[in-house]
Amino acid sequence: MNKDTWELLPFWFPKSQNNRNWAFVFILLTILSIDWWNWGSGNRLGNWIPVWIIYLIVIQFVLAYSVWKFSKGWMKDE
Amino acid sequence: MSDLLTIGIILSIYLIVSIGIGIYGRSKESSAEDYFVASRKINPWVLFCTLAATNFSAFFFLGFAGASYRAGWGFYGIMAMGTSLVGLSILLLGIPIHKLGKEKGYVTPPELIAGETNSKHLGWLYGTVLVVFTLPYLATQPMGAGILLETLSGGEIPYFTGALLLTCVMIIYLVLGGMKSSAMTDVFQGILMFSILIIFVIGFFIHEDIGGFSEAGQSLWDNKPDKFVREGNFTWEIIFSFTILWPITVPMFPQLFSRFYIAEDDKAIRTAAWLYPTVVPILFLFPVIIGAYGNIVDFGLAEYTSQELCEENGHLWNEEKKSCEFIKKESDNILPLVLTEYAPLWAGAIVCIGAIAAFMSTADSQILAMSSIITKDGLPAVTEVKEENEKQIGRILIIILAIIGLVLAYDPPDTIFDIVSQAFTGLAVLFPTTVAVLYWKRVKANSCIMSIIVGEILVGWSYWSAKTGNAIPDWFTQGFHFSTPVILITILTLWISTEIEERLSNNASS
Repeated sequence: MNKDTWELLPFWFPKSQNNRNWAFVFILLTILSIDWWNWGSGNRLGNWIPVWIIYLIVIQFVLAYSVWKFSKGWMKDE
Repeated sequence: MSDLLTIGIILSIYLIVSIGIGIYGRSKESSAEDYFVASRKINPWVLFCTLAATNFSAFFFLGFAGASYRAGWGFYGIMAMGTSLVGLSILLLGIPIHKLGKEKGYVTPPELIAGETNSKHLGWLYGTVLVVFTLPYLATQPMGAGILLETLSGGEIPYFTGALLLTCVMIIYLVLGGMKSSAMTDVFQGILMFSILIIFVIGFFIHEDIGGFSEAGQSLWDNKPDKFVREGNFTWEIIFSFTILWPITVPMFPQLFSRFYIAEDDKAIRTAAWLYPTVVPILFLFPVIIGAYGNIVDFGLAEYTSQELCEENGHLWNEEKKSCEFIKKESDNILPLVLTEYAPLWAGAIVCIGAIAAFMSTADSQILAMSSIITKDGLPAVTEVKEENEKQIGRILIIILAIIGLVLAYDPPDTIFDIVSQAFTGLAVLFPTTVAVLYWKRVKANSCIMSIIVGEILVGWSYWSAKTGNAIPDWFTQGFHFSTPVILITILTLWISTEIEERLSNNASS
């Protein structure tokens, strides 16, 4: 697909394959952060912190790592 | 030493240091660009600190704790992931905004939008929305300061006196130093507020009456197990709504948007982008912990055993549980209330200083950003503004805006959370336009105007519905927060109206 054809796509659509891959990663992490399968859980770690909070913290650290990797290449040559 | 004197001494030391840093950090140059965007020379670490301190406000300190007191740990789900995603927004929007700012000399958000679309009308509309929706958010900062000092001093420092005092100090360092002072005080205030909050939370749990993390956890589980689960407090649709609202709305705050201009290079923005989701997951735990565990603190409400007694004392009677509870607005006080129960006065005063640092670091940035928008975009539309006078006009506007914030905070109608969620949706409407201007060559000013107007009409409808007690119908929200369909509609409006505009102009030319 040439550059002119890409311009016909909606403004929110990632233009390169690499950016589409990253979009997939970030959308997946966002979806995984909503752990609907565990919604009624009151399981606690060390008696005081819900296990679902620990899960959410881990997802956020994965997100931080992904942003770090993504930031190295984003708009470097433009 | 009297209580008031203790609070006075600690508060004075903090305020004097803030003013001192503001004066020391101020720029020696005299141009308006230097005053409003610190000559675009802010390094990565200062940029990160100022972005974080600017964003974590009274809402972070008091609003989070209040909402977590009401809804338990589930409120972490409302705030954390969405705020971590702000790091991605910083990268995606910050880099092109920084590059365009440096290349074309933009100082304010509307300047960029108007400049890139060649439409003054779009710039005015964009600037008006920014100012209109930032004002209520600004008012929550003196509100927070007033609540905190009043509760801590047992009413000896009245709500409005506290709000007025801190506003005056903020005006002093802003008028003297502009953006550079604001950024430097943000670093000091940011480090102060987070370190104090962390120490306080640990101190709370090791207090002999609480008995440690495990014992406190068991006590909360025995008395209010619903505070550990999301079911019954929040649906997944609501948490999802806020998870996508924060990365969309936060970069639209004028005080955040303006900070993309001040970076010394794009590396500073890349660093801030990944640091943001690195610190948020841990920092956001602390106010949520205080709020959720505030439920095991005995505030004497159990004494009010009848509805009459409870309501007579200004609280809320829960008919289902047959118990007396704090009304919604009172629960915003939960952090200072816990403080007065468990910390000696001097320690409580130091924690309050941390919270006040959060209010001031946000409010000063909001005022400076709005002052620059009015100076650079608003006033030139009605009268001629000479470049050499811009700095002086900016200073006068800082005083006027601070007074407006105080007036709005005088008699607040809602809780801090209710006020900000309304303001956030109003600002989120600008996001599709901003992305389109930065990334889409086909962008048309009229389509952006259409998208913003449609979005703000919907926000107005939500406000009107809340005021008249009519709920937004389910067919519109489908269980999500109101902001989700609004954002979707503004994106579709922008996209479809661009297609229509292009086809109409193609037909006309052929």
